[in-house]
Amino acid sequence: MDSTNTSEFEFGNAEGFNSGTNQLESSESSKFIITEPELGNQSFLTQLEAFTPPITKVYERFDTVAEVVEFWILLDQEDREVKREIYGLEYDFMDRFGDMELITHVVPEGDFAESNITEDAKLIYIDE
Amino acid sequence: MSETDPTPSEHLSDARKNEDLAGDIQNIGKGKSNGWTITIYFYSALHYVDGKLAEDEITTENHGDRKQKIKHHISDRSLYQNYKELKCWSEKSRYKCWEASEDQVAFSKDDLSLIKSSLGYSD
Repeated sequence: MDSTNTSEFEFGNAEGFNSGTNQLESSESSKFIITEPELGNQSFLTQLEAFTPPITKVYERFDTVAEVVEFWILLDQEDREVKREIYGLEYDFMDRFGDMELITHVVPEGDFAESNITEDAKLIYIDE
Repeated sequence: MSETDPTPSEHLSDARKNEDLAGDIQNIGKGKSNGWTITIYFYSALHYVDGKLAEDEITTENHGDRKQKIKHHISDRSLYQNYKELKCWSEKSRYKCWEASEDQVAFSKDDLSLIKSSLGYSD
């Protein structure tokens, strides 16, 4: 991923995603695309970086109507301890997204299908 | 709390009944009912949590509300980790046709035991 201030991140053409490029200002110190820095998002994702690997992909979705921020966090294989650590991060950051409820789904990549996520979910990290 | 909300002792009674039922099902099912055993352990945990909250006249409206109240009123990170693991396995078993292993049933039983201990309930 380009580490300059303005980076291009090309999402895949998988069904359910917007194809093309995103031009976002990404933190040079973060592997993730930070889409909502003013919430607890940046610090939450900074904590999540400690688990890359075994995290292979992360999708996020901000639903301001339903007041939910949701993450699908994919692992290279089943890992009970990493899952529990991420549940702990969810607990720690529960109050850091304003009125929005933070929900994490931690799934081995082999158990994940793109139909599991909503169309408005964005891929914010992929292991290179 | 309204007159129709369960009392702490009612929650505790349901929690213990569920816990006993889970054990019975596991014995009868001979490995074929692991998912339901875990699910019943989850609902036992739910009632232990709701029972503790009810001691302070706090009720829960749904899973999201319960999550917030675990954080703000029980304030126990480890309990949340155990609770969420039970919840996720219960949902995976019911909706994703997941076949839980004997190890996962044992972990679930441990999760419930740790939740009870955290809340000050004895075995």
